[in-house]
Amino acid sequence: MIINFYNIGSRVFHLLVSVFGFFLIVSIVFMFLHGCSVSKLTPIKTPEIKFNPTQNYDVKSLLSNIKKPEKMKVVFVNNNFREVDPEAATGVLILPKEYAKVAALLKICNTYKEVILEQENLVNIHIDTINSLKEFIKLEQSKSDTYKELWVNSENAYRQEKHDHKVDNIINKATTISIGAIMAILLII
Amino acid sequence: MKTVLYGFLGCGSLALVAYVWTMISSGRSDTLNGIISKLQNSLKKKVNTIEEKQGKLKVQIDNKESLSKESKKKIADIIKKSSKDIQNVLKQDDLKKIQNEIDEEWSNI
Repeated sequence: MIINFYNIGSRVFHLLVSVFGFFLIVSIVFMFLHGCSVSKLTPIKTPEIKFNPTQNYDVKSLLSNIKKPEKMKVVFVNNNFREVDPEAATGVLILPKEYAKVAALLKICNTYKEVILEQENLVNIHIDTINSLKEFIKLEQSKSDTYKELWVNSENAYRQEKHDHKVDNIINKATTISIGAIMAILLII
Repeated sequence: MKTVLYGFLGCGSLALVAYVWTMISSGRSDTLNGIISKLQNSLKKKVNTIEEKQGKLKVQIDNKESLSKESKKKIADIIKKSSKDIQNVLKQDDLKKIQNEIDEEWSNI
């Protein structure tokens, strides 16, 4: 059996050339497509910031839960502890039930004090929130200015590029026309 | 022959001028693009920093909101508890207990 090395070599060579040619064509196509594609700008995704509206605060309905004690009933007495008219009275007698109203009034007074102190805390929390929101608006303004600056820079760069492209086009056309004209003159001569 | 030479000379000069002009303008364009790219990147970083700060502020504001809710609840609790205590005090007819209550409340005013 005679092995034809020449034929084998020729086939291998052809195979290698075909593979190389295939990769070359693919590479050229890829480079062409890559060259044609424009990298698109993907904007920065801003985090969603949502503020829920704050409900109105109502303390009046809460305070209406505090039962107001009835007016105190006292007995006006003179020095002998006999009941007299208020004009002639030198002292008053209070029954335990009526005296309890004094304690209740003092309790109401202290409740209001506690509520006021807690409300001071609440008002300060709201002041802090307002200050944070003011800071937030300031940052938003600053962000807006930065975006504006970005936009101006992009617009200026685009205009510069457009101008350069226009100048290049004029030069290219002028050169082509001049060369064409010279060639035409040469041909005529 | 002279005309042909002049023609070639003209073409060459034009091509040279065009080449130099394009080279200068493309160089200038590259420098400008580099500067703008750096500037744009720094501005984008600035925007990111601002957004980070805003995110932190948002967390702070949310915390304040929950603190505010707690405070409102505390006020409601104070009123509720006090309302109950007042009812109990009004029912009281033991003078000693009433006096103790008055003394205690008086000291808190």
